[in-house]
Amino acid sequence: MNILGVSCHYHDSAAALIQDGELVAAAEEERFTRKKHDSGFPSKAIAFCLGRGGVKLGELDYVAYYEKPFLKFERILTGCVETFPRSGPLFRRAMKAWLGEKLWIKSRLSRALDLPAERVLFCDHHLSHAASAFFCSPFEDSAVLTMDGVGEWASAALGKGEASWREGGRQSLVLSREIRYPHSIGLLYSAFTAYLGFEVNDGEYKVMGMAPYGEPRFADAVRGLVKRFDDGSFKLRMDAFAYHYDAERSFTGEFERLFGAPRAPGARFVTRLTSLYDDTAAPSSRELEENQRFADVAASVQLVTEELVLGLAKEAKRASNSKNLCLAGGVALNSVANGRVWREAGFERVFIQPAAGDSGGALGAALYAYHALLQKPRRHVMTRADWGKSYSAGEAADALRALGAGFEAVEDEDKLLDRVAQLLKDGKVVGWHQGRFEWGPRALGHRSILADPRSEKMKDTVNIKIKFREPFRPFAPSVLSESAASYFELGGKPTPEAARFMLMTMPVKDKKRAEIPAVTHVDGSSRIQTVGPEGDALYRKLIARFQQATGVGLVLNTSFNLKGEPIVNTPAEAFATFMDSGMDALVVGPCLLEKGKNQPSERRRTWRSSEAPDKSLVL
Amino acid sequence: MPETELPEPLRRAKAVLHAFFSFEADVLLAAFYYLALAPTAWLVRLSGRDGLGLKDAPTGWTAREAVDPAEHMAGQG
Repeated sequence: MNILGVSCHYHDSAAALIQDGELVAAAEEERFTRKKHDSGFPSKAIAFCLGRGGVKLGELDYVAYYEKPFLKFERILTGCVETFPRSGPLFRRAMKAWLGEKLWIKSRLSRALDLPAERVLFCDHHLSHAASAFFCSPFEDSAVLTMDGVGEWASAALGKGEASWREGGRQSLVLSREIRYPHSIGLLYSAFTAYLGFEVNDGEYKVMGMAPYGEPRFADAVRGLVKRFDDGSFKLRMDAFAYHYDAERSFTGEFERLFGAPRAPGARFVTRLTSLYDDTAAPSSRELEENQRFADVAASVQLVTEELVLGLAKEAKRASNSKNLCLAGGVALNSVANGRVWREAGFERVFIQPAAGDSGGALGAALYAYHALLQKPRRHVMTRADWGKSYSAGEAADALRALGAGFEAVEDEDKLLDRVAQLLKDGKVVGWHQGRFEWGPRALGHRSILADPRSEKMKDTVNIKIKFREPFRPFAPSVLSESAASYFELGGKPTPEAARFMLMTMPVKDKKRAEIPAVTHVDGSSRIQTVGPEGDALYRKLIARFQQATGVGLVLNTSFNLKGEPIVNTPAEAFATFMDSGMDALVVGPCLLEKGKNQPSERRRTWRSSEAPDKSLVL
Repeated sequence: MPETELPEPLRRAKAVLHAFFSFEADVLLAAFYYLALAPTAWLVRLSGRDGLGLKDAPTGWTAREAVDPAEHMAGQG
């Protein structure tokens, strides 16, 4: 039984293929088209998934789409009517997009996949999120909580899943309550993302990274925008927000009255705690003061978001009385909030699958069809995130040769690991391209840039010389699962499942902070990825080898891309990114390249997204 | 034929046509917006309907109806 899940037409288009309940392949379209957050029809991701599964066009049993387009269209029309006459530009943009493409997704899928229309299924947006987490989790029963910007009408939902591994067992996933648009944690956070000068649906994690530089002195002002109820639910004070009628702006003048003038996009962010690195322009006291205000606003919205998420999670606990929680939706990528849920909401175990945002809906829709619709027993637990395309050693060598790269093929795995561990120990920054690329926004040891976490300077080096991004951005560690408790405050609990996918932030132990400064954020926290025996064997061996060499059982791991670009897919993309950055070495399969033997002569990159991102949050 | 391979006059003509139809679409949609949505919006306001949940309520939750998976997955709405 082959079921393909598809998500598209909002952001982060993706496809996922399950065969007899086992996940075979899953990928975001951006990895193939090189357009970050590509929202187009995911032709290339679909072709990859079908190819990986050996499925020809017309051979699929079902295709499941991740939301209900007519319900979403109804919500947009209702919003335009109820906010008339302010919604004119939003209405025109929405009609062009919806009448031109989005309403016809059923026939598009039917034609593209050569399937009769009755084999095209639709799953509610939040149900797709919920299924993507619950049916990939190790739990037979679990509370389920989904939170994002908005789907059709819902922006958050809670319910319960009960599903069995036995033939004939009950397979049930029910969302019993929802919070409806325009009241939304995701849209609240995105409005502040825009206020702080970042792109919505992209820069939210930058707000999260900026928050620890500030004090939440505006928390009461942010709380004033939200009416909270005792049952964990909330409503927003909509006079401060514009996203429900404006295609360009997400907040009103009320924001400026409360928080001051917004931050200019692209402006330098510098506070007394941020690094200037090689920037010779010392900040004025006015610049420091202004930036501290932005950091304080970021800290405030982050704190209130954590309070809202925690309120919903505690309600999920109260309503389900389950020991387990599955989280999904874009808000479940907020690793700081996730860490608080794990520590404070009363659940023993918390599972989040790596593509918790909209791309994950493709997987969830397919799993919902297999388990809830067809009542098939569970077959799959997601313990690893490498579901994308891989390249053989021969393909890697051919691609590098074609680009004129000088490399050494180190076929002996032990020798390769020793060489890389030594490079890291010597303070070199290494591009690591191995196996299948990851599912979701995090690089987890397959398309990663690795460095020594012990170096104070390494954070600045990787931010500025390697990735050309803002110096305030933090880095995460990949840590051997058995070493995690030595470095991080786990409160005596076993490491949560979500930490495998770098989706939880933990405090670094006081006595260890000086030992691993490059992966300790300014507030002493760290967004950890645990690498256990169930994970990638080669990556685990590399970290172990680094531990043997240095005594430290973790490495700095950041995604293999430059600022504003999708994570690399092919060996050629890895080489181009290596040559365009300050990385010292690159490992593609067994091929080891060092910068000295590969002098940059011209820009190698042949792709670059030229499309302006859509600023609308709700279409 | 890709845009870059078109002769210059054809490329210009295409751009003019595209701008014209885009403008036409904007005019038609604006006309529809003011002629059709205006009375609808007033009727909605008169009826007191609260489609966006902006009025006071005792909770932010809305109950979801139980769904039959087969029925649920068959439709787009």
